[in-house]
Order: sequence, then C-alpha cells, then structure tokens
Amino acid sequence: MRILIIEDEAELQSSLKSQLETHGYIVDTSGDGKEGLYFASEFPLDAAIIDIGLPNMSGIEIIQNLRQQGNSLPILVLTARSRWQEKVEGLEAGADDYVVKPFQIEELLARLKSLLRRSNGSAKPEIRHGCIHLNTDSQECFLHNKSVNLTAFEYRLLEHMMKNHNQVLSKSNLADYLYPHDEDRDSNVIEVIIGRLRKKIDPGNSLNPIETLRHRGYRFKLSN
Amino acid sequence: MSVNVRKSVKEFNRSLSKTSWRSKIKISLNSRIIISATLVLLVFITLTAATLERAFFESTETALKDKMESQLYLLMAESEIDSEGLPIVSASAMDSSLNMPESGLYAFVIDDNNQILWSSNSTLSVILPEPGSIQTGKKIFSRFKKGTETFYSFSHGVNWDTDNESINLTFTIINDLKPFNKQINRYRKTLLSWLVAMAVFLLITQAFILRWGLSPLRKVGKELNKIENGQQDCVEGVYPLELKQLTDNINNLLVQERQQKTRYRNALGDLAHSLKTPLAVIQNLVNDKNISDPALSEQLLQMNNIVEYQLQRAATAGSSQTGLAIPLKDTVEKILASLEKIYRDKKIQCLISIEENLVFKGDEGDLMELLGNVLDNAFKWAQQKVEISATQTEKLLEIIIKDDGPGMDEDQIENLLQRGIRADQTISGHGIGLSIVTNIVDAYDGTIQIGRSYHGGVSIKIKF
Repeated sequence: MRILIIEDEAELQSSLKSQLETHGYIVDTSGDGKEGLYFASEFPLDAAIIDIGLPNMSGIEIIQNLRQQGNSLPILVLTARSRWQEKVEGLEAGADDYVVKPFQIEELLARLKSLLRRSNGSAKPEIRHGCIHLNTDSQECFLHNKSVNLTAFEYRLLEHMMKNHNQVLSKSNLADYLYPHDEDRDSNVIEVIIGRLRKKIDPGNSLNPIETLRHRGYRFKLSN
Repeated sequence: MSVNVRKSVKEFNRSLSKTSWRSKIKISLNSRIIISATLVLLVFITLTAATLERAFFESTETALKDKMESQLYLLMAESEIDSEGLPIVSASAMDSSLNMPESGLYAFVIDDNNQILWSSNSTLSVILPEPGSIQTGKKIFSRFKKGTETFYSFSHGVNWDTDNESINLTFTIINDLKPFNKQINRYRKTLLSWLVAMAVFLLITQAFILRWGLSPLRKVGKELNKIENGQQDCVEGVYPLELKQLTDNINNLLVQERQQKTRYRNALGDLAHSLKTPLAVIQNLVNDKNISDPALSEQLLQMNNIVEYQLQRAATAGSSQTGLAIPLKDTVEKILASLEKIYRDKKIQCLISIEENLVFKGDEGDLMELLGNVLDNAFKWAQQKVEISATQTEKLLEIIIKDDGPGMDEDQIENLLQRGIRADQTISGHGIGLSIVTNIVDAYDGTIQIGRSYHGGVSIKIKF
C-alpha cells in the first residue's frame, strides 16, 4: 500500500514515515501544500494523510482540489485543530476521517486500515478474487486458502493489481507504485517480478490471473 | 438518576441587573415627549385663556363705562331744574330702559346732602343702595354688590346754574351686571370650546408628528431586537443623518466584535497547533524508539488533556446579545454527516426529530462543539441506534441525545462531568469531550442531565 504524508513538521513527518514503513507501507512525503497536491494528483496512491496547516496551500484546499478533480483517494486528516467546527469543515471538504494531534500510532494505523478497507469496498481486511485472496492486515497471500510465500515487492505488486482488478496497468504505473523514489528504475524488473508472481500464484499455469497486453501493460483478471 | 449543573448566582446577578435596568427606563421616549408637550400645551392654553378673558373683560367693561357715560350725558342734556330746584327729565328723550321697572338700568340725581332729587321709573320696585354725592367735576365709575347682585355705577358731580342760584348735583347711572356677565360667559364658552378644539387638534397633530419623527428610532429598535434574537447580523435600514452615525457605529461595533472573535479563535487554533504538534512529535518518538515508560505516556496524556481542555474552554464564546440564530437542524445534519463518515463501518441508524424552525441563539462554533462531542460519544458507544430530538417551549430549548450503548452508572456520570476524568481510557477524548460540553452549557446558563435511555444506553438532556 502506498501512502502519502503531507506534513510540514519535519520531525513528525519522518517519525510517521518510519513507523508506517515498519508496518509495510510504501510512504511518500511532502512538507508543502502545493507539492503535496501534485503528488496526490499524480502518484498511484492508496491513501493520504494530510495536515491542515501547511505552507503555500492548506490541507482543506488540497482535499477540495482533489475532490474537484474527481479523485476519490481515501484521505485522513491529521491536525492539531480539534474543534468540531474544523473537523466538520475538513470532512465536508471531502476528507474521510480525522485524527487529532497528538495521537497514538496504533489509533492512526487502525483508522488508516479502516479507510483502506472501505476503499476496497470491504469491511474486512481482505481482497479476494477467485481462489486467490490477500489479508491486507497481515500482508499474506492465499491460494485455495493455502498460504503463498511472497516477497514484499511481490505482495505489493499483487495487492496493487488485485485492487485494480480488470484494469490495465502500464509498466511505468507499476514501477511508479513499487519504486516511488527510484528515478533510474529498470522496467525489466517489473517483468521479472510478474514472472515470479505467476509461478507462485498459478503454479499449474491453469488460472492465468495476470494477462500481458502487448505495449499496454498487465491486467489482473480472475473472476470469483 | 440525574445530575444538575446550575449557576444560580449568575442567574441571580443577571435578573438583578435586568430589574435595575428596567426600573431605570420606565417611560418611553415617545411617552416622555407626549406628556411634556401636553403639559406645556395645557399651561399655554390656560394662560392664553386667562389673558384673552382678561382682555375681553377689560374691553367690555370699558365699553360699558363709555356707554354709561353717554347715557349720563344724555340724561344731563335732557334735564332741567325747575323753580324749586328740582330736576325735570324729559321721559321721551331718555333711554327707554330707564322707564321700564327692573330693567337693570337706573338713574338718580342727588344734591349735596345726598338727597335724591330725581330717580328713573326703573327704580320703582327695586331696592338699590342710595348713591352718594361727589365733588363737582369728578367722575366715578365703580362696582358694588347688593345682596347677591353686582352693579356698576357711573356718577358725575356737576354745578348746575339756575336763574337764581348755582346748585351742586350728582348724576348717577347704575347698571346691573346681568347682561355684562351673560356676555362674558358667552365669550368664555366660545373661547373655551375653541381652545379645547385647538388643543385636541394640536395634540393629535403633535402625536402624528412624533410618530412620523420617531419612526426611524422605532425601526432601529426593531432591527436591534432582530439582531438580539439572531435574525439578522447588522442594522440594514437607511436612516436619517442624525441616526446614521449611530447605526454605522453599531454596525462597526458588531463587525469588530465578530472579527475579534474570529481573530481570537484563529489565535487559539494557532496556539493549539504550536502546542500539540510538538506533543505529537514526542508521542511518536516514544512509539518510534519503543520507550515503554508508563509515567512518560501518562504525563504526555495529561499534558494533552490540559492543553485540549483549556484551549476549548478559552474558545467557548458563551451567550452574547449579538449572537446569530443558528438553525439547529442544519447544524445537527452537518455533524451527523461527518460522524456517519467517521463511523461508516458501524452503520448506526440515526433518528432526528427536530423542527426546521428551531434555532440556537449563540455561537455556531459552541453549538458544533457541544453537539459534536455529545453525538461523537453516542456514536462511539451505540450498538445500532442514536436518537436526537429537540423541542422549544417559550424560551427554553431542550436537546435530547440517546444511544443504545451499554450506559453508565451514577459514579461514572459524576466523574464524567468533572474536568478531564475519562470514563474509558480506551476511547480517546471521552472525558475531555463531556467536560467541554459542561463548560459550554455553563457558559449559556443552561443545564445538563445525564441518565439512562429506554434503549439501555446513555440519555443526555441539555436545556438552554
């Protein structure tokens, strides 16, 4: 799961980043409102944690801009302003949840997971297509209810593809998702990981869950 | 099982100040002007009536004197003295009233020794005071009373030359006051009726002028009432120059008050940000470095609670004479929309029973804080159902929020209403939320009751 943190307090941003990374998230960060809006609009993200008081553009404006663009990215507002008038203002602007500073990381993680589950259209921490299902909390993959051992990259790629079920995802999209901070990434790596994934989740080569679309990319297609 | 929080001293002081304020302003400006103008008008009319009556009386008296003098001269002209020294007056030539008994006009001729030498026929059946002689050449016009009747007399002393001698005679004309009084009374009646008519006309005109003249003041008064009731936020009407400065000043004051409130809130928001962000950093560092010191966590929590509570308390605007009327249902719906987003997974069924026209007279931020905290708790604890209803009776607004959660016992309720004590440490901000609610309720001189709802959960009743 790829999360964007827009927070101008460097110490808090870095601490939050490291804690989310510990819990298996890929984390992008920004300490500026305008830059944060650009990242949120352009990157293939799963959720964003946005502070309200930011330089150049407020968190509320970022949320309003994203919603005006038709972007339904799950957004968690993280702010020190705890009055209900401000909470309602943030949620009316389009945020999905609200966490007041200071916070317990467990509470933030719980809220984030809840948001991510909702965005998958499920109340459970699970993505299921056919005989393959993922537990997004434990970050495990199951084939016919038997655990499949995946590397972190393989799991992230599969989760991203299963979340975007039936959608064509280009190599660059997948590379962006997997290596957000690597400018010199090699697109062949994606092919290698896809190849490994296919072997692990379809050892009998009978399901063909990941389709290759020439010059267009890949598509996860496995009906329930 | 209920706990009442009431500031009786505050109420007493308020009622006391209201009473003294009212007792100072008993008579309206309109009544003051009407009463003083009526008094001035009455004095003016009375003085005018007295002056006019006096002038008329004097002029009528002068006319009567002139008339009596003429009658006297006529009498003298028609008089002759016979050989015995007695006057002879030609009856045909004299005023006919002198020949008619009790006509009211009487004439006498008397000598030096006050002996009546001649009297007119009109004196025959009337008893009149005997006139006295006066010095030759003198004229006396006087007024006297005989019984209940009042008379005017005009006497002239003359030296009459006969063939043989020269004798002193006094010619007197007496006129009773009946016709004179009649004339004066008639005049008085006419004068009085005209003056009363004029006074009524002037008072009615004055009332209309006052009504027209003071109508901008009444309009300002109505607008100020609307501002006080929260129906409008400034004085909107166009007013005469004399009032324009006042209404402009009132508007400036209202704008300044709101701007100040906003600045104050923003400053508190910034303060919250600058205090709570470092706390969040410390909290994360504690988590990050796996420092599991319960004392540190406890101190952090306590610090956060104090900051949160004091800032919320400082941000509470409280009741104000210039607060707008906030539509209750709109605010409730806004908060419920937010809560339904936050607690989407719980799928809470929320029943609202609030009429569209119900308003909260105060600050929107305070209402949101109050409802937000109470409803947030209800959503946190509810199994399936939250109910919010509101009613308004006379000047009392009652809001009831119920949930079907596990409810609370009396000790928990007591504790919850105290500052910063948390009923359930696992649910963040629970205790702080309700103590903030209590503060807001206090700031509006309201009451809060916490009890058990018929669903078994908590029922919170707030009255303003």
